[in-house]
Amino acid sequence: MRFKRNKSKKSLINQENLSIENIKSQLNHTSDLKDREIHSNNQIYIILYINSLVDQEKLESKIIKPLIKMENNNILNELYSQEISTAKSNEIAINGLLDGYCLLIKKGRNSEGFLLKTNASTDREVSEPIVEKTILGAKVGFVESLDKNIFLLRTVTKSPDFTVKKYTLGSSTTTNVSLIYLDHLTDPEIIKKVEQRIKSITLDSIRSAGDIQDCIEDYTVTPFPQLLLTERPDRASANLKDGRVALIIDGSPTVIILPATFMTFFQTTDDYITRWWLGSFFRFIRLFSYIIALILPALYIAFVSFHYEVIPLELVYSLQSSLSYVPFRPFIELLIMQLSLELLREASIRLPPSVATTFGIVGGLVVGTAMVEAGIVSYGGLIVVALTSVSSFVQPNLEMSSSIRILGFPLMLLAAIFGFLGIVIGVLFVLIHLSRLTSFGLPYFSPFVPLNMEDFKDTIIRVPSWMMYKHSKNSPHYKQEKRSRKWKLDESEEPY
Amino acid sequence: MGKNELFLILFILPLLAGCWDERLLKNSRTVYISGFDLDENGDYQTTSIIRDMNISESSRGEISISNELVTGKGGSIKEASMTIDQSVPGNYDPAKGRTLILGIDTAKGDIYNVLDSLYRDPRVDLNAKIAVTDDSANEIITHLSENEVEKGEYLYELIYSSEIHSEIQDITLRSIRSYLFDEGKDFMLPYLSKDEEDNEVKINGTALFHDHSFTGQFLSTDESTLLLLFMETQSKKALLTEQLDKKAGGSVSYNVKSVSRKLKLEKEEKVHADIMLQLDVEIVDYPPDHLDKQEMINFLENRLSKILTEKADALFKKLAANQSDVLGLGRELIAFHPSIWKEIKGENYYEHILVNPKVKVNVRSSGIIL
Repeated sequence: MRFKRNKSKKSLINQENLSIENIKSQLNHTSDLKDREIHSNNQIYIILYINSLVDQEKLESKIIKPLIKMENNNILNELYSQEISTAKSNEIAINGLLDGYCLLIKKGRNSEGFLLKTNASTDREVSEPIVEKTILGAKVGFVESLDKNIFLLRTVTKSPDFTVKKYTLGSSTTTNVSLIYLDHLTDPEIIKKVEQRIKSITLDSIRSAGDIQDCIEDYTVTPFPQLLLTERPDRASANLKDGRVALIIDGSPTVIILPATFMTFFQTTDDYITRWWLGSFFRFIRLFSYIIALILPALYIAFVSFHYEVIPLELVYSLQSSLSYVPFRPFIELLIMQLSLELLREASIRLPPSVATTFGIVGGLVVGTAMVEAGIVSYGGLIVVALTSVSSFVQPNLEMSSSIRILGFPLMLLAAIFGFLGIVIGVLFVLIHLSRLTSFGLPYFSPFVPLNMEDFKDTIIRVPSWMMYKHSKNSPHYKQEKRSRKWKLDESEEPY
Repeated sequence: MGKNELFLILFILPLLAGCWDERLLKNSRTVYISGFDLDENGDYQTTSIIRDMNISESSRGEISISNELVTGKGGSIKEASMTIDQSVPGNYDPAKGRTLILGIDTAKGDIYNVLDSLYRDPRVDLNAKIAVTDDSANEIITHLSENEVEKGEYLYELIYSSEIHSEIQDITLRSIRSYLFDEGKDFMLPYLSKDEEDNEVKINGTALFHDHSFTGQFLSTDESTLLLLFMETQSKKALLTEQLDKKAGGSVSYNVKSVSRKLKLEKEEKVHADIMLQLDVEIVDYPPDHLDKQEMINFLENRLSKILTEKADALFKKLAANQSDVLGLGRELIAFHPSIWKEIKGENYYEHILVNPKVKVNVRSSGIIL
């Protein structure tokens, strides 16, 4: 049941007979609901449509024109609409109207109507993704239209097993959602779980992918995202081929990929396009920078307020020389710096690109150096904060990089209270938490916990494509594919 | 146990570790070198250099270094450093001091009296180097503070490079403790002195220790290199030069590549220690050349073996005279001949040992020319 109305109206919907008057009152006599009577072949047809959702051109040339010129009474053969369905109840008729269909009713026989596809589309052109940039990857990003997004995904994933399931979510305003997976590769258990969770969504309305994410992720009280949001069809397609499931939401250019593990967020399209040495190197850099971004500020605090005997002597003197002018404790010092950086970051998102460059220079360079010269922060603190933010920018996924920013603060606090011990406690806590997390029942921190050597092929390093010849053990068609580099053997056997 | 109790325990546990004693770097006065002297009244005097680095605000990045010399007196080392703490702003912190200098008077007493307070502080750098001077430590440090301001860790590097060249025994604050409490082993420390002519602090050799105190006798760097070879603890580089007669070409320098020692201990009237040392050497400086000829090599091998055996004899006589068992023969007896050790053990067990060293030199290489 899609409409939750008051009881008096609900009873009207349930009426078997299709009634124009009822439909009109259901839609509150909205002024863009138009109807037109057409006399043709001694019959009176009524076309009902919502003006703003319908492509006028299509309606005129493909529905109205042939209808007027019609010579026999066989409507289905005469109209040029690509999709015709019968509407037997008011409910179906209204849903069709809201999707941009027009309703054709033969007067006299009110019980039957046809829904004809005449919807207007406001698709923008497919353009390069803005957030997830790549060097060599496809220059195509998802758009706001559901059908176009499925089209984009299908063109890079040609397979008879490509399966689309549609759902309509939202109880007061509705949104179409498509569940997409490759049937032969995806664990049926996961599909079942996803379907179950989607069906249980009873939100009033779906605003964005975030609403669905909130409703279906395993744990909400965690800084770690368990669903991957992407705007790249090639990335989504690659994940489908890994046996994952994609959720496309109408009106949203971000596609949800699930289930996601911790390492999923470190993969980029470029890893697989460049040679595997390079791909592995970048993968390693990303993991390394993740750790840096997480613990560097905490380490700095522990160094300068507890354990400076571990810093080399020369560094002690130079750190000390700029620290001695700072009136705050190291924790406060870094907090000021980190917060002002967060301000800069947040401010620069809303700025037009032309102003953003100037803003970056004024905000970053001028404020940074002025802060040091005014003695608010030390050179060491500035370096640490700068390195931390650069490291967090290395993360290919926005949500993952935000998770480090959030986790960084409690770690800093722990380091300020307990020094190294605090960092150890904090990091242990994060690791335990990671190991406990699941995404759709699958361990989130795999392949580290539980340890699975086989899966390391595509984690810290990326092995060459021909070495990844096994599918996930949970997929229905788990099998070993043929070796791709067999030609080498063949060539060496060739006689010269 | 309830969930709340568990949480409480988890919360309290880190507090129990007692790691909250914050020591802010900006408040600390980091010591870069420390020296200890003993005056006539039995009071200790600690001299330290506190280094300050100033990055000037006006001209960016320009660094100026200044040394502050502080001294304090007290009945114990700790009291002396408390006296210093009273006279400096911030916390006097000896944790980063990488070189410790013992004045001659301190060294001649029980040096463990000085080191004890250092071992009790968990933050002290255990890899600190220890050296003995021929004067008061105050003198040397004052000199360093005035003359070596810009030279970074002058003394540490001086000692470190000597270790690399096998001129002194590799001893740190950590390793010296096992020598101090080993009844069958002694040690030697670098012996510093101020060269008045060059106005420089130099390593003049190594100071021989017996038990906990300096014997007053020191070895030259050549002698201590030879001793290190006998101990088989030389570094990668052990360069020696011997004078030959004019006819044979003046002098020859060689680098010891590897050492093998055979030690035989026998009890007769005294304990006889026969040490046979085989040195594989590489000739690094020998202008007469012609090292392709077997007779030339034989000649060098014989001459060097003879010279070194003589030197070793003199060396072990020196050690015996000072009862300094740097070689660790006592330890050898404890380990392999406990029955002999039982008979001779005591404060001056080294009197009962007679060392008969023999050196055999094998020329293995002549560099890239013959």
